[in-house]
Amino acid sequence: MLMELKNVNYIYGIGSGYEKHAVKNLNLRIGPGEFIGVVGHTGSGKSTLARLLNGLEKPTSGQVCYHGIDIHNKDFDRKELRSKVGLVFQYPEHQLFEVSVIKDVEFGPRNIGLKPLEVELRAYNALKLTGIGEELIDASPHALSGGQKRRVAIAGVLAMEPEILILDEPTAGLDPQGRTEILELLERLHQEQGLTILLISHSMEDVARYADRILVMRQGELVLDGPPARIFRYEEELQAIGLNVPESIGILHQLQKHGMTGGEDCVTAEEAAAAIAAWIRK
Amino acid sequence: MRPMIQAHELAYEYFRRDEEGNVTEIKRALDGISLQVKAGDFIGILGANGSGKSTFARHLNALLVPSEGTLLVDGRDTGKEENTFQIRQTAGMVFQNPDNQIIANVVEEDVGFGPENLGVPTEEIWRRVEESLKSVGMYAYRKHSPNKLSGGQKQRVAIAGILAMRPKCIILDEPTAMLDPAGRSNVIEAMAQINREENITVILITHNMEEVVGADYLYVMDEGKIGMEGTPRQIFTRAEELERYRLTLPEAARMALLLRQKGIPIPPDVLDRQELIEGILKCKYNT
Repeated sequence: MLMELKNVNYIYGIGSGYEKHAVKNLNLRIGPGEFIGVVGHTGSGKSTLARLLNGLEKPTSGQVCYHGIDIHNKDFDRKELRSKVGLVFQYPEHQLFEVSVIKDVEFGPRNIGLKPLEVELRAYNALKLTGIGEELIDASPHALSGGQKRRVAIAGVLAMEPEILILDEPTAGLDPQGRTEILELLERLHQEQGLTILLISHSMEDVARYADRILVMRQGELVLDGPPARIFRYEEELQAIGLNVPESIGILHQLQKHGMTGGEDCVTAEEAAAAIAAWIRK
Repeated sequence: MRPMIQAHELAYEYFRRDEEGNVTEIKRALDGISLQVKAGDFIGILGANGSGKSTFARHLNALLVPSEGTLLVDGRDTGKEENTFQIRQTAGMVFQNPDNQIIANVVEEDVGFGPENLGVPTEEIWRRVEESLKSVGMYAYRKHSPNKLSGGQKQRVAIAGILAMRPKCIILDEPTAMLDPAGRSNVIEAMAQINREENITVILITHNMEEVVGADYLYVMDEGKIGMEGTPRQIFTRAEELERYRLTLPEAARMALLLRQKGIPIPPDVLDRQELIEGILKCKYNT
């Protein structure tokens, strides 16, 4: 197992009067090559989960394991872990600071003491993977568009050659096409590089199309875990916690109440439309 | 009736400078915008990142002033400094990040801050605070600490803070970008209701097409110009053009398009879920 959480609890602000049980009794296994979507309302514990996975937070109780080893063991190399479990924060472009795109992407690899040639090679590769063209590598990060900046920030994490990439709301604030570009980049990294991906999002639409497995969190607890089509059967339960199935699936469900048959396994709008067309013709 | 917003050939340029202060680039962020917004309308402004939406919004309450052309807000020229105070009272602005807009430790004090600054008498302030919080459905939280609210609740408090200043127009610059789906729909519903019941002009900038399906009129911005304009029904039948502007259709309209491409005769101007379902049921049962 790539990563495993065993009975993890995380409570912050103990004794301060603002105590919050941010993650409760969480058990989770993440296998290599999975593409997992994590959805939940604000404050459901999604971001805390991300921080627990790469060792930025230590669980109040329970274990976080990487390849079977507790990452909070005394002799565990957590520095190495932060390379291997790459975390892309919300609005990562706010953290770009170097004078050029290439320097910014080189920062991480240089910081862990790699040789200059290796640093450069990794940065070039990472930029290539994220679709940033050669003409931009010497540009100032601030001269780029919103979507480009975000891809440079992701390249900075990829240059550390992670095994798993965790992204917290990577499409927030982007225009619709910018969203699609980021999501397709993730799909490519997953398929071509075999990267394990954990995509945290408010948007069921975003995760449905790309993830093989969806985790739904509510108030620090993992309440649903399964493939998208199965998660979507719980439309009412999702609504009760401030979430939604994708609009196309909601439309399908409403049609099913009007006598529609078929379409139970649909995940995307294209699949839903095909099922509806087939039913109309029947 | 006097239009709420009147822009005539509005242009805005800014300079990029290098470390020595030399101008390296002149960027024309707005380039010949002419439009009129009727008082009481709900307007949506769409467009790709960097298309000039936010720059335009910042002109509406005189945070920025035109480099060329004119902009009148409720008849007042934003280019004249003596109008700034009045314009900011007429046109209130809500920004993207809910955490940057709240200043007080208690919700009702935050909402009262604006009118207090305007010198409104205390009794009248409290009346406005109560009304404004009720309008956005946050009255029950009036004694709460803002930092314990969710993002959507904070945004509604920010809106109440603007309402308490009795504006004629509210501009919202991607107010839901950081919110979860429940927070998103609460904010949009609150704005639709305020527009309907209090006849306040609303200008909503967003990347989310679903949020402007019910608007009176839409503008699509592209490189500082107006690329498209029309009612939602007119705009959301032009799928290919929208795609050129890096936008998309609302989901129901997209489903309708997918169905038409499969030869199902769904009307071409379907906008929302209700209309789509009616169209589909008609195809199924009336033929």
